[in-house]
Amino acid sequence: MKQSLELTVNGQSHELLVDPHRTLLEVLREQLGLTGAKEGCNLGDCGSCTVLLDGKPFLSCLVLAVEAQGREILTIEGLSQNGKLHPIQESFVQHGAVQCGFCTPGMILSAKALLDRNPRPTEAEVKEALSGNLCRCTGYVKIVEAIMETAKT
Amino acid sequence: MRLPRFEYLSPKTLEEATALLGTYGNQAKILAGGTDLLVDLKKRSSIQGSRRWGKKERGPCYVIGLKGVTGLTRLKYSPGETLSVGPITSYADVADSTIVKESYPLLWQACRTFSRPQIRSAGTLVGNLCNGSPSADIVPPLIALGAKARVISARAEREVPVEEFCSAPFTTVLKEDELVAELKIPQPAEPYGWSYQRTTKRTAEDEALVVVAVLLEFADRDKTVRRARIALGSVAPRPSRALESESMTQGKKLDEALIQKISETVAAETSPRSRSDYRRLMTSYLVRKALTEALGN
Repeated sequence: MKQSLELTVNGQSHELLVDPHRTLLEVLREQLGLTGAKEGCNLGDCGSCTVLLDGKPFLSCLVLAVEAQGREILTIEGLSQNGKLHPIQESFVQHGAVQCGFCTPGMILSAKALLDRNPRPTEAEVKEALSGNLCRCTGYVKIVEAIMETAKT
Repeated sequence: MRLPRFEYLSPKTLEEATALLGTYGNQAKILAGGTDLLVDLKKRSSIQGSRRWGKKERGPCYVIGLKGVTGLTRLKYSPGETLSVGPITSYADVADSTIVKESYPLLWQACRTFSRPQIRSAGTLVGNLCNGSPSADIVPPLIALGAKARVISARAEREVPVEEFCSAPFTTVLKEDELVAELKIPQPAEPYGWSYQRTTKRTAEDEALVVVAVLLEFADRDKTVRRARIALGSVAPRPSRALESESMTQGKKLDEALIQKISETVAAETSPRSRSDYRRLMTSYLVRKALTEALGN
């Protein structure tokens, strides 16, 4: 049976009817049209569906939409302000840290969760923060560089 | 891969949750962080999974989420006595706690190095225990600390030492209508030393091949061992203590020769199901490392 729920995504509140076995990833992509969070493995291994719930990184493929109620959900679509890229996004562009782009939303949100808590991380801390995000283009070096550069500014 | 259909029940109190478990029994499953349950359900509902498990075992009809019960993520600490971990306290909750960092460094270390950030945000300690995996990362530290699980149902309440909680791979002593309401972790007696060691196939995020948690309580400042707990994970059908190795430390000061002897004994206290030579060797090595580190910690 569908349940009615209210989700707060990128500061906007949405009222939805959702089947309880639907994941947050499915609802974001299919009901809200927010396709920034990617479906990779869909089993919690790859990190491409990473979103922030109350500032912490979660795998949206392993969160039931009904359990995301009452939390601040941030997806990659909510990062730029008034058409201006977030500094982490800007740095990814500058450093060529985007190759095929599939892992990028998850990488950037994991980086944001880290930098919000720890604005001056070491390289080891950056790598640890990204340990749940796989890049199949193996472009890790530039991704880490891009985040380290953001942390300096 | 999608989840099978189920009905989602959201009790407002633990009493309501146990009443629901009492009503639905094995038709229902408690959802904590979802990092094990939801993966398992997705696999079961897949084509491959339905071949392996059959249609009947596709999963529960009712999922009971505990997110709607207030206060269940809370850590409660009575100084010098016990730490209480809630049924849906996450690894991140523990890793972020300065109280745990200062008073339970062994638990803190295990939680902050567990898996990856996304799994630490969602996964819960009680969930890790209830999943009953032989390689559960958090169970050996809980055993080393002498933790107990407070188990409740609509009809009764009991306490189970964590070392007795798992009975076989992915099997626990929990009955159909029971849930873990709390983990109670006694404060180790000062002075004490600790160490947490683990090894995996490749990266730190992989499933553990060997987990070692050591807690040494000393009789005095010269580090004569009053009580030792050496808990092992992933090297037997269930996480367990190396009792013979522990008894070798009793009333002794650990020197290099004794540590060497214990590390040889401990290998014989394991019964790995696969990669047994390697796991035994690594248990031996990690226990030696852990005992040496615990003397300094």
